[in-house]
Amino acid sequence: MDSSMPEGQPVADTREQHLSKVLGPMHIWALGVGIVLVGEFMGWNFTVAKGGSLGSIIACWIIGLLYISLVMLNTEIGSVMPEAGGQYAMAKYLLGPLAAFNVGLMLVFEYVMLEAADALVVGAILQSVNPEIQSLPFVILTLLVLTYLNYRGVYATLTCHYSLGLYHHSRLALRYPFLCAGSEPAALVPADQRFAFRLDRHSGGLAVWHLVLSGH
Amino acid sequence: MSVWTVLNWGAWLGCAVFAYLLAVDFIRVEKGRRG
Repeated sequence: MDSSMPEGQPVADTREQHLSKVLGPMHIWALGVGIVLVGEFMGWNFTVAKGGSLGSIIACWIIGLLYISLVMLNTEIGSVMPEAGGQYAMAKYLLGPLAAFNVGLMLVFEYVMLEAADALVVGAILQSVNPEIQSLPFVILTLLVLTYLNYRGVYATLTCHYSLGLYHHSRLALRYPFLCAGSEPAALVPADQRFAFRLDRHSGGLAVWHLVLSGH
Repeated sequence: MSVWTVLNWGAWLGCAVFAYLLAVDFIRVEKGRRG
């Protein structure tokens, strides 16, 4: 210890404290885009089937407005909370510990159930390719791979996510003109279903992987 | 044996591989944590 320091005085820690930054902007891009792509496959497509194109676009506008409100709310509140805890921290500061406990509990339920549903969807999609494919080993494999990836850390998870994102995008970009023109050989698929069918088959699996990884 | 059967067995094999990797990593970390 420095002898010039007076005894009994607290030593000021002058080192700068900050969260360790392991992710780059591209990882965040892959995370965001992955979630949106999966939303397209898992959610928005169903709205077209249920309510038609017009109903779907109206629903998208309403949800979009709500989502913008949510983003603005989070941005506003998140910048004044001296704690990194997302919605849990917000509830803690604004509503109290009981509300924070409930929000935390619901978030845990959400993520656990999301992963379970995602793993089941991966199995179901593979089985739709051919009924001889068993879904159980692929469901278990999905859970184990995800557990391993997350065990290795967020960098490994999002690097994998990023690679899938690039592959997914390049495929979509290459196929999009053919898909729109309907010039791909798809004799077994009716022309009016071709676009959705092709997207489902070729991008759906990857989209679900995005969802699975995003959920973590 | 069809290609799908091979794929199914491959998935089970993948399960075993990742379960092994997880177990090895877990044991290594736990040993390191306990000194």
